[in-house]
This record gives sequence, structure tokens and C-alpha cells, in this order.
Amino acid sequence: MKNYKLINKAKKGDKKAFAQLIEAEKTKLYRTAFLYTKNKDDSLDIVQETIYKALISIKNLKEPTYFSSWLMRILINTSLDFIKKRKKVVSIDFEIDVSTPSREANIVDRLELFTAIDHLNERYKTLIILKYYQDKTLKQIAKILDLPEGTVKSNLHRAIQELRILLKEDCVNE
Amino acid sequence: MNKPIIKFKEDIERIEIPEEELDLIISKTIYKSSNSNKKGKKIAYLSTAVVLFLTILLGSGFVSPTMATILSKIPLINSVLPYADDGLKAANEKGLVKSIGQTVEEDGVAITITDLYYDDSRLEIGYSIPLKVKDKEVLKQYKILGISDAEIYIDRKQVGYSSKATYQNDYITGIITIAGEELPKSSDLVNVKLDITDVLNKKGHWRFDLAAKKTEREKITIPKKDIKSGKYSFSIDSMELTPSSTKVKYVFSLPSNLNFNEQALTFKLIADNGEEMGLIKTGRILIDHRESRLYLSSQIYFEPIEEDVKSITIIPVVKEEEGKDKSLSELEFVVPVSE
Repeated sequence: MKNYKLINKAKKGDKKAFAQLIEAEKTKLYRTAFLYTKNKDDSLDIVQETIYKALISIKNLKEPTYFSSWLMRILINTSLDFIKKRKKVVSIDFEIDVSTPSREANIVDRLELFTAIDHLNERYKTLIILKYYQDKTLKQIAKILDLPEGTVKSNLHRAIQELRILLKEDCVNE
Repeated sequence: MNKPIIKFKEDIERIEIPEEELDLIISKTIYKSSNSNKKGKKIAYLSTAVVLFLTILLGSGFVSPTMATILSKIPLINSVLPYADDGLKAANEKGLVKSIGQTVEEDGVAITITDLYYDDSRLEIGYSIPLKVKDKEVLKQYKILGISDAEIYIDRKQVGYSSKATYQNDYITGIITIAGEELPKSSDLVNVKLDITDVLNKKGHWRFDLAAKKTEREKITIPKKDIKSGKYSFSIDSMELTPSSTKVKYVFSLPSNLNFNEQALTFKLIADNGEEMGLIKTGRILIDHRESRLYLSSQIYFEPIEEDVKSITIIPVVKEEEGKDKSLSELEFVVPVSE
């Protein structure tokens, strides 16, 4: 309820209230960004851009109860955008005449989930992060990613199957 | 709950939080961002301009065999911009790209500003750095190839920029782009102060003092038209034609309950001679909610149009979930461009 008040204040342009809301989310935001970029500077950039986007669009937030999910959605979109762009950057810098080592070749026999998710496509990776790091329900994930619940369910199932192959053991229960 | 998941969470919790930096960035973004957040802007440009620029690079000169031959024949690189995108190529053919050729060497790194281009839509600075490497793998030690940080002042006002570089034939060639929004509206001749502070993992000051003359704007057409069809509506605020680009400012609206991702919206620009103009870059999309509709407004830059073109057609294109493009031809706009 306290949050609800803060969100309404923030919606009206109260920057202090907005800062308080961000304070409560910042660790999760940074760590999630880090899972995508695996480096500090890029993660900070993503958090910054997320906050900037959130600040200018919070007035449009329709359901204050979803603030946290809404913010996470902005962060995920910003991260995915970042990754997409960085891939292109890499391709121009190095792919022209430098061969990029194959990703698969680097997969060691036993991986941990933390590194294994880097071998999934970004969509699957996002699902795993939301489900197993942030403990979101299928319904919440569907809301954050703007996907039908059925799609989330089947994609998550496929993501877990891929992880099982990567982890070479039957250890991730749905 | 099983072991890998517990371990996964533990690993994530172990990601160190750079508390001070994070707090600083947060407060800077919140309290200083009254539409003029420099860092924020810089990121926005990096995220749009650079990438599209790269896409264009990939699709045009830099990777083509012709480009490789041209480069190998030039011992000293004195021209970078014409190969950056088709817009700059066209501007160069009209003799509008200015050669510079100023070199500053410090700490074994010699940066040459090769050429410069300035019009209403952008100011572009080309540069080259000679760099001999035995093995291309060595390049990976650089987090950013070429210039990674610089302070740029245009008529004493600091501006945001984006930059990109590539390596070929013993040279790094790159481009610094300052977007139209950062440029002074009134002056035709500007002073550009460039202080490059970080390049190839070396810090220092490579300073350049340049003058840039704005290329005359050819013509501007503002169609006051609004097209509505079904749930979508589309209007163009303005269109600016410069020798290096065709800039379109638009507003696109749809019911807000459609769960539409703004990234899924693109446009096609087709000249009356049937030629499709390539996309150069897109600006940051602003989103507004009003009366249960979503208004997306932004600007988008295409290649310049040929002089004999009399009209162009703009068609919004929506990416569908499966990645397929769907042209919304019922919303197409025909814009006359001849006087």
C-alpha cells in the first residue's frame, strides 16, 4: 500500500517518490542486466537507460500494482535491444576478416545454470531468468513479456529441454 | 526446488553491485533528466544511430570487394565518409564532403581526421588510425575499436555523439556522428572542437579544431495529411530533404490495448521511379498515451532521393510476431517533392 502511494506520487512527477521506488528495485535491475551483458559498464548503461525510459513514461503506467513488472519489462527490452545491437557491432568489428570462434566449441562438459543460460537464445534466456531468478509465475511472465500464457509455457518447456542438454543431466524440474 | 536452481540464485546473488556508481547513475538520471540528459542522449544515439549505421555499412561499401580494392590501393586513407552510407556517398558525389587531413600523434597513436560532412540532419567526422597487427585476434584486446571516448563542442556547446569503427588493411577507419537534434539551428558555419580522450586503450588528449560549413537544405515539404484506416492512423509532421538524407518526422497511433511493441514499426520509402530508399537510421521513439490510444512519434532517416524524383510514397511496415513484414498499404502516403 505504501508503494501504491509512492507510485501515484511518481506518476504525478514526484522525483523523490520515483527515486524511492527505484531504490527498492535497483539491485534486481542491475543483476538482471548483468545476466545479459556479463559486464559492469554495460549493465550500468542498461540500468540508466531503463530508469530514463521509466521516468519519462511512468505517467502512462495504468496499473500501479504492476510497477515492478513494468520496470522489469523495460529493463528486459532495453537489455535485449542492447544485445541485438552489440551482436551487430561485433559482426562489423571482427567478422569481416577475423573469424569468430564458434560458441558451441566453448561449451565445457559440465556447465552451471549461471553460464549455461548464455548458450540459450535471448528469448529462452529471459524466460529462465524470470522464472528461476525472479520466481515469477507463468501469468506474470506472460504479462511482462507481452506474450500469451500458452506461448510462455511452451517456450519455457523448450528452454528447459535445451538446458538439460547443456547441463547433461536431468536436473531442472519445471 | 532442485540444486542447479538454488546454485543459480546463489550465483546471481554473488554478482557484485557497484553501489556507488549505481547510486550516482540513478540520481543523475532522475534529477538531471529534464530532457537534456547528456549521457542518456548519448546512449539513445548509440542505440539507434550506430547500429543502423553499421547495418548500412554491412550492406554497402565497407565489406564489398570494391571497397577492399579501393582501400588497398590507397596507401594513406584520406576519405572515410563516402563509404559509410549511401547518403554520404551521394553527398560526396556532389562534392559536399570536405577533406580535412589533420593528424595528431600522441603516445604512438596517430589519429587523422580525414573528412567532414554537415547538413541539417547530421554532422559526420571521418577518421583513420594506422595500426599494424600480426594477428587479427590482437584486436580483441580493445573493448572498443578506434575512438572510445571524446568530448565534442560545437560552437562551445558540448554535444552528444555516436561513433563506430572498423579495421581493414592496416588501418582503423571510423566515423563520429552528431545527430541533427544536437546541432545549432541557425548557424551555417560552426566551429567543431574535438578532444579525443580515450583511444585503443590509451588515454590522452588528441585535440582537433575544425570548421564545418552547412550544406544548403534543398527543400522542405510539409504535407498536412492524416491517414486513418481501421485501428491505425498515421501522419507526417515534416519531411526534410538534404543531400545526405531524407528525414521524415511521423506520428503513428493505434489503440493502446493492442500490446504493440514500438520496435516492430518501420517504414518503406519508395520513389516514383520505383526505387526504394534504404534506411539510414531511426531516432528514439517517444510514446504517449491519450484517450486509450498509443501515439508513437519519432524521426527516421532514409537515403537522399534523386533530383529528378517528383514524388515519394511512404508506407508503414509492421513486423509480425513471426518476424514477417506486413506493409500497411492502406496507410500509404504519397508526398510530392518537386517545386
